[in-house]
Amino acid sequence: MNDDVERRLSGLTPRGSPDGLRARILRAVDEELARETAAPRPRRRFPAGLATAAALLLSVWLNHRANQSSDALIDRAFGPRPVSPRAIAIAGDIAEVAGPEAGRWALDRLSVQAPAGVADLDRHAAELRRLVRELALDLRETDDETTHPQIPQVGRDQLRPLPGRVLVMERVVHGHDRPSA
Amino acid sequence: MDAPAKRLASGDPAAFAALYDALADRLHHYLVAILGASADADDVLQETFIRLARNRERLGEVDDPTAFAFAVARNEARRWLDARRRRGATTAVARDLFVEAGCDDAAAREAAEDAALALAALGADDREIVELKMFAGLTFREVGAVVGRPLGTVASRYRAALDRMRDLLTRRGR
Repeated sequence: MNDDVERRLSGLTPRGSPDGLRARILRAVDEELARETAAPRPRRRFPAGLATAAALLLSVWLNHRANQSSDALIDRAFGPRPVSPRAIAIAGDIAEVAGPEAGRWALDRLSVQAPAGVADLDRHAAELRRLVRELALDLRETDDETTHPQIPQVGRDQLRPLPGRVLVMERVVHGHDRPSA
Repeated sequence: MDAPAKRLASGDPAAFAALYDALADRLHHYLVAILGASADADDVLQETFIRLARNRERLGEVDDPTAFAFAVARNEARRWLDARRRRGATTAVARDLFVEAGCDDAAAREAAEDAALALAALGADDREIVELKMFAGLTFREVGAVVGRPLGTVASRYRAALDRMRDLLTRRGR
């Protein structure tokens, strides 16, 4: 049944485009092509890949500077790293056998991870106590003007140190394990 | 990329002339069926070719440049219709779709007018599918690519539209 309709429609001749239209359209196309050729599309001034690489390099450099600055601060706060007498003795033995150069090299290597002595632990503990006292005072000063509640269970969240302070203390505790530059 | 597509993508004016010669009549008929007026179809056809020239790199990448050209024409026609709708203008029925509409033979003239009216009586989507399949000579797959519908949907809507046209033509023939 549909074949009849299709046959009927296909017997008709579709009207085409007007004669003058070809020249008009092709002229417009030529103008468009000439415009595109004369004024090439502007390229992106900062390619995405280059910008990403530059940002990556900058972040690496900034991280390095931040580490250096942090190391300098810790060195200023705690003084030069103590070298264990045992390490000095071993380095002296090596210097006798292999020469002073090898002795200096061995001392450098051994002092990188010097075990903390009892005196060091005491000093760290005292330092921690001092920091905790300072932080507690600091928290009280920076809190609002209300006093702490008399019942500790009620106000324990207020007395709890902020997460950032804990990280600072952890850094102080583990500072002696940090390798030297 | 085959040679004509490469020439189109590189902006060769001769390649665009060849593309015009291959597609202009079919595109113009399709645009008249959608827009209702030959003068509007002229302008939209020009916009279509300018857009093809502007995006000529795409012509080198697409699998079917014919379907791509019809899709561009369809987008331009829709933009044109939207602008016309915003101005409050209505779309006229295209009566001069066929050469026979202007000939001296009364029977042929009547057949052409009946077919144009039956096409105009269809919904816009169905009219577009019949136009693309019947007069533009596209395959169902190409029609689906142009109108953005699955092949099966296009085929079933085409047959349903022909059924409606047959009813309309039979009624007018009585």
